[in-house]
Amino acid sequence: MRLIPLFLAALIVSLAQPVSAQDWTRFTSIEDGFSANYPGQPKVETITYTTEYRQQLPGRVYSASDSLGRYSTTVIDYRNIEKLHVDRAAKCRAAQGDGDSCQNDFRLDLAGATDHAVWNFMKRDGVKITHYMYYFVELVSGRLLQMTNADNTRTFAAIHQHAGRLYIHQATVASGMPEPILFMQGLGWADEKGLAIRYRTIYTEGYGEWKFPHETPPFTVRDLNTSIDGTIPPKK
Amino acid sequence: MRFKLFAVAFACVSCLTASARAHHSHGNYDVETWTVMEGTVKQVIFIVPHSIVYLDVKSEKGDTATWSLEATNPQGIFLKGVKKEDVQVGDKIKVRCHLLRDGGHGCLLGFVTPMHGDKARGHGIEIEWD
Repeated sequence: MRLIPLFLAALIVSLAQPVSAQDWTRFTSIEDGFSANYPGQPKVETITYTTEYRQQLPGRVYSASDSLGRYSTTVIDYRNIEKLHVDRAAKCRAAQGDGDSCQNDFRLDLAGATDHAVWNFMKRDGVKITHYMYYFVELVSGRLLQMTNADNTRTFAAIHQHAGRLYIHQATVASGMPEPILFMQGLGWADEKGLAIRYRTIYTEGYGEWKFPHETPPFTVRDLNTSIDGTIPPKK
Repeated sequence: MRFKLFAVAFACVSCLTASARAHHSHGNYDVETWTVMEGTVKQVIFIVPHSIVYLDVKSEKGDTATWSLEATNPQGIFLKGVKKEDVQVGDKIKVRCHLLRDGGHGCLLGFVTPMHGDKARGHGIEIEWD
């Protein structure tokens, strides 16, 4: 019986608690070209990330947590990806490798970096994707995933490529908690002075100014029956 | 008359380009449907680029869930005439917002109407927080 007043007192205290007790503040990383809101100063961890075509790239994870959930921004540096693939292809050819294994996959690895990161979420055991869409932040193209995990926690993840880097901005909250919108909507792009970048048209890594309909990119045509290298065979 | 025509034209152009000027995509929200919710303010965080209101809302079954309501930036809210003290922790408010399309406890504000009974803090007056 004496426990009832104690329980009521505890209940009142818990009801009076804010959802997030920590002060949310704006954090800017000029080095990694982004800004975001975290509950307090994020911890920074250095990692190595494996790309779809098996290159090992340097990255950093900025993370923080509060009573609601866990929040992180993973930044992977793809800026050296072309050299890594050129070097690997050259080594492969020097070792008498075949055409397939010695192919330079630089473009595929870079153009598919977002898809690879999305796939890493999709293939998690027991995950149910509840929403998936094309997404942009300050007109930088990306993808947004919302999912319920096997343990009923909820994860939101936004994935972007900007200025040679891959950004994986994600939050996970416990079941029944409000969705982690505060963290997710805070992502932005920082210039060398830390100022926020906002594009005038859609930014897609590897492309110029976004237009629709757009000018056709350079291309060649070929007769598949007579060509093996993707160019028009010279006329005899 | 010319000014009126210009104003209408400007407004139309503004509407057409609104989606391209937004800070982020809104495709995960059902922006074609307004949902009205009433609840008790658990927390208000005024922060860029978007402020957040955490609102405790009682469902038809009687259980209470905390919702995350996405508003515009603090400057955008204050320029509409809202003062920080208008919506405080524990206040009753009514909101109109666009629900997350996957059924999660998130909603894109919308409008906020304080229902705390204090006219000096805007009781009963609906103001846009988007």
